[in-house]
Amino acid sequence: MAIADTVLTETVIDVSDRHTLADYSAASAGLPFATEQGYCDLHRRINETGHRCIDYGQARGAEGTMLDRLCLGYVDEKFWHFIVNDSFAKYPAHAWHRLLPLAASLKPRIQFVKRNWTFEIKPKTGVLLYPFGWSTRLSFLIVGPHSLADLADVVDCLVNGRCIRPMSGPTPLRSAEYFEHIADGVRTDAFAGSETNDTAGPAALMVVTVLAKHGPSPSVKALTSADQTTMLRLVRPTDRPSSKPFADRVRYLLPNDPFQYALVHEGRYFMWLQSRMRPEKRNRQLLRCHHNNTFESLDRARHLKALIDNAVQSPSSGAAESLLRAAEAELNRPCYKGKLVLDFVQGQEVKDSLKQFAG
Amino acid sequence: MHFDWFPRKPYLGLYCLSVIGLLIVWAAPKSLLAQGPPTPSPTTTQVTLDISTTPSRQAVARQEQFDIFIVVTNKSALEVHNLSVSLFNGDFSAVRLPSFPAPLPGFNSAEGTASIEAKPSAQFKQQQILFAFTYTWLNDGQKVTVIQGSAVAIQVVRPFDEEAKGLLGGGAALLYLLLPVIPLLLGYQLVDRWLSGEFQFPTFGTQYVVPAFLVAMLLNLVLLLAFKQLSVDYTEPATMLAILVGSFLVGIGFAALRRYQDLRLITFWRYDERDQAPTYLKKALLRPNAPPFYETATGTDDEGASWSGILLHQPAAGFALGATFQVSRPVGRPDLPEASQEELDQIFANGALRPGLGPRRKLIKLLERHKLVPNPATPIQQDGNPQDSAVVTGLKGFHVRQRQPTEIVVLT
Repeated sequence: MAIADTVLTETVIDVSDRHTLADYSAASAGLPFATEQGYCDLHRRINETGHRCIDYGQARGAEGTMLDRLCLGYVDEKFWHFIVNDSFAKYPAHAWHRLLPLAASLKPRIQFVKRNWTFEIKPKTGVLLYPFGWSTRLSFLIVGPHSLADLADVVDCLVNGRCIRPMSGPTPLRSAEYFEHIADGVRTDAFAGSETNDTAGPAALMVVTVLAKHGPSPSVKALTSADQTTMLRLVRPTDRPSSKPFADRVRYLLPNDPFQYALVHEGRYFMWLQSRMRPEKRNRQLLRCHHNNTFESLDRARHLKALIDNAVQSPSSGAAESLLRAAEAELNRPCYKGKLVLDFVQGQEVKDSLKQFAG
Repeated sequence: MHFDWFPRKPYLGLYCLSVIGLLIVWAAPKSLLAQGPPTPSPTTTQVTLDISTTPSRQAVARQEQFDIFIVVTNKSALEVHNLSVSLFNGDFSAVRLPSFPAPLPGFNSAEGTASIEAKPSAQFKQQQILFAFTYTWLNDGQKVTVIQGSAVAIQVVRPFDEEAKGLLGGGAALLYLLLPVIPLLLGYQLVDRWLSGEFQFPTFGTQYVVPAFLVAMLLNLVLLLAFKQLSVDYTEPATMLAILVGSFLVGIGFAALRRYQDLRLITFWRYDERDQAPTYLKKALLRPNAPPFYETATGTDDEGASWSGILLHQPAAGFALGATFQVSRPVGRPDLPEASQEELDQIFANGALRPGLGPRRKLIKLLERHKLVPNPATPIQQDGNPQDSAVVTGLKGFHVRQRQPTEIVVLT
């Protein structure tokens, strides 16, 4: 088949970076992230408000440079019930031991700098704050008819191009530049400013999921060579020839089903779940949940691994033993057992990290 | 009436018996004289011809020519005039008849050879050919015409009769019986094996002798009842061809009738590698006795190549493999009608084809009307390489290693 016949109408792209503290000596300089008591109290305080959000200024006593509002980074949904087995009202008490995050909105709004595309790209930003680091999130909802090739161009723009324009600045930024720009503000607002010693992940996590489409689906088993090239650009936006065959990048989300799969390349995931794209019953909601849960779980697992890795590399970093044990436990027994998450958690890299940590 | 007077007059009884005895004695010489040869008229002169007819052979086949040697001897002193011979038998015709000297003087002989041919319709049996010799002679100046007959016995035999006599115990009869039956059985076997996927020239094995003999007997009985006078010449080329072809066709027809379903499958539902997706799906989904479920089979052929695809049964050829397809509404073609959601709901449930023939028929109808467009879902794989065709046939020695339930068509 020719994937040109496939018309996507709604796609979501979530991107996040990862910063993990390498030294906790200055952790108490910003938000109360240094101790279990302070961290849980902040959660309780936010939870007691009607909207479960407070202004950053209310928490810190001064306006933030980058952070706008602080909210609970979890909701009363099944995904979090897997992590905390208690009533939702008591979640703040588990915030430290269960590594529950805070979600902060960002002050600077952004625009996606479009090319000659007729579809709409709606951006959304935020930061997930943990006692041991943060993740800046970029979420793009693409609405309107677009092809897989268009989608690959958007991914290419996000990875390689200057597509993110802060409302406050005239110059479009690369995503890496934007993440670093946000990171500076987060260090200042939530941690110890320039004193913050953190490590960044080598590559941003990206999860792309098609939510709705018209026409045929790209069967992963029936792609022509040209189709494979186009599809591969969704996770590997480069012209350099690939050393691995296309089939090695395919993960079947249902056994041998050519319409339920993911393409994977170095922290970038493209998911096609045909069974959830059918516009009936709760499919749309379930598909969105699947995307969100996958993205959340992967981001969280990568973060926990980095926490373990940093502790292994710098035993004197001062990371709380309880955080490390919680991270170790969750990596050993992931709460969300999605196929892609399990692939990552049960992969050799995580195994090696856990082995070194245990040793 | 009273008869009691007789014993009372014995002389009268003796008298009566004497009269009767005299009458018998008087009559006896007269009746004996009446049974003897008639006394020739003193004015009649008898002409006698001694005719000898000798055939060159005792048995002939149809349309075969043979000679009759004729010797005529005039045993009288008178001349015989206008001696000629003619033949009387509807199954034979005279090719050439001899001519005799005219006149044939007294106490002389003449000889000649008649060439005779058995007609194509001559009956196979012992026949009597009558030669009628006509001649005239003068009796006191008065012309007398006489016809004198001489018969020749000739056996009209079937072809190869002589050869068949070399076979033991009625072998010829058996061969004659079997001749129309063997093509019938071969024709039957040919079609039967073809429909069974074992296309090869059939053999007439020993296991067929008894049924063939039985069929032959019945066939001949039927022919005998239907055509009592039928006497078929198998060596006549047209007849033999007609018998062979007719019998062969009857055998084919019988096999075709008996395996009507297979014949229908092979004629109308045979998979072809040139089949496009709608045709292939129609053949797979709507064929007689189509399976309710389909399986993806993985296996190897006799050349060691690895194959994977939907396992299909090709009529008379074993296995075929097919691709799976997705169907969706046409996109970007406003000229094409679209299937309505209601139509799709009647055919699919959760993207899978609903069970039953009705949804399958509706699906094919929508495909044929281009309201749905098929696209490959999982192509046939040979050694890991996807194949372009919707169906692959001609797999020799395909051995299935693994089967897995699969939807042959899904809605996307």
